Amino acid sequence: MISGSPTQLSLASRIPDYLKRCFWACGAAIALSLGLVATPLGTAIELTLGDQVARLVAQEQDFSDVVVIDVDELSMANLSSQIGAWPYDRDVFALTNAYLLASGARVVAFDILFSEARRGDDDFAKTLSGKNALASAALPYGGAVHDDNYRNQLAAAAWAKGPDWPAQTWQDLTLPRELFSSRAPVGVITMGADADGVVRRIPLLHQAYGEVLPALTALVLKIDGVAVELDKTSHQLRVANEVLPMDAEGMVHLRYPKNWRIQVVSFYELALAASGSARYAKLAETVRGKTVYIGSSSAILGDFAQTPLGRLAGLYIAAALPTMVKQGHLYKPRYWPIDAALILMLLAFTCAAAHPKVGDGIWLQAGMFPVVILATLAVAALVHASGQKTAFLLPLLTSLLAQFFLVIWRQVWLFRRNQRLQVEKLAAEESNRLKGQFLAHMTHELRTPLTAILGFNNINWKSETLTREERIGNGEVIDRNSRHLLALINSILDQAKLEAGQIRIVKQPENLRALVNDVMATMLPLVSGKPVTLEAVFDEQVPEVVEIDAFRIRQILLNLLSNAVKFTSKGSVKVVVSWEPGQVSMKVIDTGPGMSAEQLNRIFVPFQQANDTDAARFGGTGLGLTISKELASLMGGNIGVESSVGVGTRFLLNIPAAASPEAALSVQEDMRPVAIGPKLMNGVVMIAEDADDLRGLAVIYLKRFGLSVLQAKNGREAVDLALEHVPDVVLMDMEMPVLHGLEAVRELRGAGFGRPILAMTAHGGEPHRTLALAAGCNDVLPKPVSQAVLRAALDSALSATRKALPP
Amino acid sequence: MTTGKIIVEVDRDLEDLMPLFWSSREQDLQGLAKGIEESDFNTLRSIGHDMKGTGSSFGFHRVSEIGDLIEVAALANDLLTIQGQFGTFKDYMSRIEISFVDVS
Repeated sequence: MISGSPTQLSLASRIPDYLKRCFWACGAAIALSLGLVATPLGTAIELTLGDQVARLVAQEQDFSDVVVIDVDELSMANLSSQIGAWPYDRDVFALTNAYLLASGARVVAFDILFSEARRGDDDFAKTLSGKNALASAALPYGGAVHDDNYRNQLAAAAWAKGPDWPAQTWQDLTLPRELFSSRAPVGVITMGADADGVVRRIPLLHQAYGEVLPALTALVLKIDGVAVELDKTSHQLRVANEVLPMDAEGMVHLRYPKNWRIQVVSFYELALAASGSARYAKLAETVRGKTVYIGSSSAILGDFAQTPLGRLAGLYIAAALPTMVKQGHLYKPRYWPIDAALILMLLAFTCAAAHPKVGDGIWLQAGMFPVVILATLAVAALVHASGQKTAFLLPLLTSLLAQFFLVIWRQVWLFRRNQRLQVEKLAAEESNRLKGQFLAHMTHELRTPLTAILGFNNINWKSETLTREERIGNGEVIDRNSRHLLALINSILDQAKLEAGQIRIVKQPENLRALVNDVMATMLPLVSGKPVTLEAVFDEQVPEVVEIDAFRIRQILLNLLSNAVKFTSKGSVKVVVSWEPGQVSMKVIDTGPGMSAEQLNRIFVPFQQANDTDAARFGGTGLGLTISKELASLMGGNIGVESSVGVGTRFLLNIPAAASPEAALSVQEDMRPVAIGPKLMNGVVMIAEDADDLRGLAVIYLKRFGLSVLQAKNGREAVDLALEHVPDVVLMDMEMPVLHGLEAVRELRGAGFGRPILAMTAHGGEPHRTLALAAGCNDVLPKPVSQAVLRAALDSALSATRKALPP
Repeated sequence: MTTGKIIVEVDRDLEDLMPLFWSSREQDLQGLAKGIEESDFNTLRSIGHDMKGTGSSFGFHRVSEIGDLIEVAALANDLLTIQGQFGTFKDYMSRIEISFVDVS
């Protein structure tokens, strides 16, 4: 059974690491940003950023249909001698209003509160008409006592009743005198400002005492002929048949113009023109067909408001508002899906900008911050310019924080990677040094026996004075060194396989006690003649059957035990096997000479033995323990050692293993023979093979291929049969009795046999192949020969035969 | 040495050859035991060589693997390894259970 289990990739494991990192960075950035923008400072910054962008994207607007009549300081100065100081008697307004209406003004709106009685009120009232708009002021505080007349006057001025309209609610309203409001409509002039005192939005409807009145702006639009309607079903305000974009508080957001181009005329000019002054007679032309706003921007009368474009007189703002609404210079208020889309888009950009492929340099990554800021502001500004208000601070903060987290993350990762690389570099240098040392050592290990072999061989070969005993003695040296060299090469190959990962661990149910006892039995010949006892002790908990790679455990145990037996001259060598769930432990305890701490440090190092004299005294390659340790590690286990000089040594082998029920011991080996395709071949093939079973197997295969078969049991029979029947192809085993395969081939070729001969040999390696080809074989098939290989080789050989034959 | 069975699937067409294969392996076991007893490395190498060439042909890859190890060990006169492999081979043979399957 091969350890391992099928793995199923979860969705999370399929997502690239960088995306997961972005997900967390963006999530944290969004959460933190939402918290920060909710603070007063965050709100202030958000509004300021919005104003900056509003200024940036402001456009020029056309206010040519508006004329402002300003009761400015100059007017007050010029008129004081004729009509006295402010407040003026109403007869001056009667005179000017009559003049304006007579001159053809479309609307005459008074941004002046006519709430108290004054001389000339009757005359003024007589001039008022449906083309006039009168001002009412909203108050954020109540407490005033109003009589029925007030209520009736308010109801008469109202456009609707009830709380369901998108109107700003006030505690009280100051109305113009009933004398005036009965002749001309009333609109509210109060403009709400945001918490920071900046007028960015205005209501078009106001409400007090349950009555809904229009703002002066809405009133002027209506007088000007624009369809301003209250839909009593949907409770919406429609201007020019469209519902204006309003926020949740019923406010429309203003898009201020880039610069003001409103024509302003001093009130004294109007007063003089109305009095018949020829000098100002052209004023009639100026106001004809225009909306006229009369109010004051003077320091003592006028009010001023802060706007995103700066501080402006309320009169000018009020005068511009109807035109801005009529021409659609309004922003759509912020809408969360648009803000969310903007944030997601910028986060995507941020994640792309912070991607490692863009670059890892700290300055490059730091340089991405202004890029992200500019990108955020540019995108938000573009959306703003299209008339849609968006959040600024939130996407900016989110992007910057996400960028910050990703950069920090990356830098920490890079720092750690550099540290790791540094460690790996040191390890590689150390490994390189060890490899050099290993190579030097190996060269030495290989050269030493080779030198002895060559040297003693040379003496035996060339010396004429040696006695027979001396030659035999030299031969023994050569023999010993040759074997040592072979063992050394085998061990090196084993270790090379381990390092190349070519050794596979195959676990299957095994009887552990039997395995250990078997290895102990193998050791018995080694202790014969020595006062050493061999013993295996098993804990009761050791299961009968465990899943292990018996082959490799046997290899390790043989190595540990042969060392123990080799070095122990008297006493005992004991194997103690114990079990805890999931792990088998084996202690190999001997009463040998033991090792010092310094010697223990060297025993797992290749070619190192505890004593320099050990190799000479006991032989061995110095690789056994290294290989054992690596095999144990390959099985998920380990080997430890403890030793005391003069007392003995104790090796401990721990291997993970599962207990297995004996009944479950059937192991299926995947050794199913390969199925051969249905295509049949033609021809006669001779098989020369001394092993009956292998020859029988070949006959079955050949017949299965559709071929006729001749059989020979040795080289001699092969030569005779082949020369007699001239088969299309000969399959020749190389090691046969009576006549060796190679000799048989040489004889056949010598006798003129020209058909293909395919050698079969279990000897691997190029020398055997070269020998076979030199003898006259056409090809060499390494044993064991599979059906597929045999079929392919025969197919090719039969084709060659057919081509060689005359048509 | 263990009681677990090792099931080897063999081409049904080879069923008639199995007794022959089996008796050859029995001979290998006897030859190996004798070779070990006499430290006859030449015989041991030859048997190992034959096992290497035969085992996998019938689907018994373990036989080829053990034969290979015995052949190499015999070349090195490494009796210890041969004894170990002999034990493994004996154990393997005692646990084999053949299941004939249709291949073609």
